[in-house]
Amino acid sequence: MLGATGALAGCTGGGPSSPSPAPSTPASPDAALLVRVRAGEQELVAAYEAALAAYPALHTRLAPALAHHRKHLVALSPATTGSGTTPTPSAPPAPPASAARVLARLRQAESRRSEELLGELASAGAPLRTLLASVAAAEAAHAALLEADA
Amino acid sequence: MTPSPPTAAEEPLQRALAGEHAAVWAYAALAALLPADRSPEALEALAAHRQARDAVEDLLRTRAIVPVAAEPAYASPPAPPAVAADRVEKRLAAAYAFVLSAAAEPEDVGLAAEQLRACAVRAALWTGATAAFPGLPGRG
Repeated sequence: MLGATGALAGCTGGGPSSPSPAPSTPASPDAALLVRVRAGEQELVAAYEAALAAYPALHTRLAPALAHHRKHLVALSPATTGSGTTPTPSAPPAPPASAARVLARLRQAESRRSEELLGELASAGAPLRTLLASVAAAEAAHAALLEADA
Repeated sequence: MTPSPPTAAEEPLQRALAGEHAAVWAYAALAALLPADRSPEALEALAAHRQARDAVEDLLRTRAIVPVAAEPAYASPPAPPAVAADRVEKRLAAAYAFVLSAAAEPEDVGLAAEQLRACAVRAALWTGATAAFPGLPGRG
């Protein structure tokens, strides 16, 4: 119905010419936004991976959300969106000392990312903002599930 | 007052409004069907959808567009109730994603994004799971 996948490639403008000259000067507002959004998603992936490494027993609860965040990264990747560079994520913080704290921290991270994404929508082109709003919705749903299971 | 010509944003908003009418009807029916321990959730969702319905209607009226009315009746929600609620929320999430793809006004974007998120959260709480891309079923 939405054709968002194909349309995304067109949202960054510029066509086939002039790739972005440097990571610090992205080619368009959407490209700069994508770099920020990807960095946030990579932090979430890293947080989930660290949590699972420390608490393998949480696999059943955390694996679906981790898989979603990896899909988000693919959808937001330069290959998919045709622009931008992939930032190097900073090392995630060491996981907290109990599984309950791990879950609480992930829930907070999901809620925060969801809010941040909604705050970015006003500056995004239509195809990208639909994708970002969907990602924000998934993150709020993850947070709700983490809270409901607590 | 002269009605404005239809815009690309009008049809998605009307579809979302039609979805809210259906959601209000479905949750009113579900609240009566559900066991006592889950009927508060249906009533909470009912209140949220009434609020969203009113917000979309207001948005249309400020543009001199006549909001679509509720149908006189809807098909009975399927059993089990969580499946019915999930179906309602997923259809509305897709309707709000459609609004987002066509919106020209920041207030449409804000409203649709908030409602898409609220639909995804309710669907997750009814079913215990969420999609990777709520409102965009084609993305899996």
